[in-house]
Amino acid sequence: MEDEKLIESLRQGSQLAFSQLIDSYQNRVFSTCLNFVYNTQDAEDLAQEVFLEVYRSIGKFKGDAKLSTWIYRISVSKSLEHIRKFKRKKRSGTLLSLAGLQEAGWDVKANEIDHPGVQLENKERAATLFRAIASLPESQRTAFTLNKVEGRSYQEVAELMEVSLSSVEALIFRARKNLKKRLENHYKNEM
Amino acid sequence: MASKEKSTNSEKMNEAPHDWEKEVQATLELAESIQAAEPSPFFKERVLARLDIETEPMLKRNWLRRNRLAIAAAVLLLAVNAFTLLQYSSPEAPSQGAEGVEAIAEVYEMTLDSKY
Repeated sequence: MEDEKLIESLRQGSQLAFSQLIDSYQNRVFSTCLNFVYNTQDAEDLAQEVFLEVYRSIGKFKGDAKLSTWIYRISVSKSLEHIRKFKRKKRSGTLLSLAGLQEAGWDVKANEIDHPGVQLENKERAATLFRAIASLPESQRTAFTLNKVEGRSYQEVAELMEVSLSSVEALIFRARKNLKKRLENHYKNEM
Repeated sequence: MASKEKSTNSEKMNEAPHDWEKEVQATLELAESIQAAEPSPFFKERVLARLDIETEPMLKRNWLRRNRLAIAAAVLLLAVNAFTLLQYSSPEAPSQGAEGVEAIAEVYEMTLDSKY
């Protein structure tokens, strides 16, 4: 179904249209969420939320961007919301964990990585990489993940993040620099 | 001596990267080799099931919540009616009523004996 017809059918509450939408976008939406949260269960929950949000908000979609861009924006937004929630839990968890009342929250360990896209022999390295990415400021993390991990072009990243092309280039440059610094510290301390 | 030091330094500069540098490079490169993944089977069915729950007609789900006062009043009314019916349909009820009337009449000296 073409985008326009699909959007119109979705606005009318068509379940068939919604089913087709899921068929078309489930892999990419899930993959995007997974590349932010690093485990399958959370990524699936988030992906479900994304589609429900699309269904609820289709009336607000103005058509100023492609339908796919809008859907991926929601995916990124939901993923970042999830991460912020976990970071808040972790901050409060630290105090509680010091008091022995709660286990510490978000911390990317190798045994927590459940990313089917990472081969088994790379799990430790992936954990190190994800920990380093997770420590970046949100905008750098988003740009780096969308470009380097997801393989999107700078143009696509700019559309998704609603920033200019030059901003994307700057974000990725800074992200790489920061990642290199963090990884250097990590490996120098290890050796 | 100085030239020997210089050649050692230039050797160091041309040296292979340290182990940690190789690790950093390998880790950064890993980012670009992560494969896309697919959700588990029946993902779509789970989303559609959640959608069904979300879009269930409000009237069906919230009818009880919106009319709770009316329902409570109706139940109370039925209970009072049932109680009243039971009270007046029991065999003791009339005599109890008659005794009560006689007692009142005695108080006001309005019994047949006192009057006539």
